[in-house]
Amino acid sequence: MQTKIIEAQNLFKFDDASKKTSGKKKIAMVLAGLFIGAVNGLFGAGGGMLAVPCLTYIGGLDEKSAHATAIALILPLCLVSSVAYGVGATFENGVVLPTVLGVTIGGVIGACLLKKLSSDVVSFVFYALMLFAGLKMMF
Amino acid sequence: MKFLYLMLAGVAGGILAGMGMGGGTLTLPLLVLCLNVGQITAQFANLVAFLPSGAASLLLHAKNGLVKKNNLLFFLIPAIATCVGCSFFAIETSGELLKKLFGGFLVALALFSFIGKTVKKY
Repeated sequence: MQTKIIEAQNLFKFDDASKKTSGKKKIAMVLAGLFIGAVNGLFGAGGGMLAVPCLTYIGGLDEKSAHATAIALILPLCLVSSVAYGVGATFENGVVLPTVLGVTIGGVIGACLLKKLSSDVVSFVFYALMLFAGLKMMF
Repeated sequence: MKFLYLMLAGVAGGILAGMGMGGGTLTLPLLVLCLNVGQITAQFANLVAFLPSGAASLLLHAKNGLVKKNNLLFFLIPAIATCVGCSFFAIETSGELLKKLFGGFLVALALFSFIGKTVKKY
């Protein structure tokens, strides 16, 4: 009984908070959206890396929900960009198919590994790799 | 043989994406730097590659109630607008410029992520 009352209170709190999305927050959301869309359109990547912190800090979501919701945000962007690129650009042959296959297989492996590996170590290795690759691409 | 290398680059990026860390930020440099794929082709391949696994994980997360639709449109609508504009800009501009810009983006992202993660932890 008591837990039910608490649940009901929490539900009410959540409702209350979601109704009070302030004007400032909405502007921050729109600005974040503009930036995420620009990056994802320009580079065809990176939108998710931006969407997760934006959904966490501006949208107020917990880490798991932010990751899940980021996909709901990024997937339409990737779809739109894919169509635009597909219509407007010319590509080298034989790249897209193996990459799609690889990413799909890797995605399944990653989802399984998630439960087994310490993500902190992986994160820091990943940041170092990003820094190295970024510098190499710039110069 | 090139098919296999391209696929392995995809697998590496896909693993990170599956773990919830931007996979494209690894797949793109691997394709461009290690396998000499043109920037725009690499970007297109990465975009298309995200569609099947992205759709699958979105469905799974939605089933588990993790996708929060509250306020999502405030992010999504402006994002789609700039996404369309920047996609056409990317098509028109040179691959070399895109590559440099993306390099700069990676460096900034790496630094910010590192600082963010460190601050949160300690």
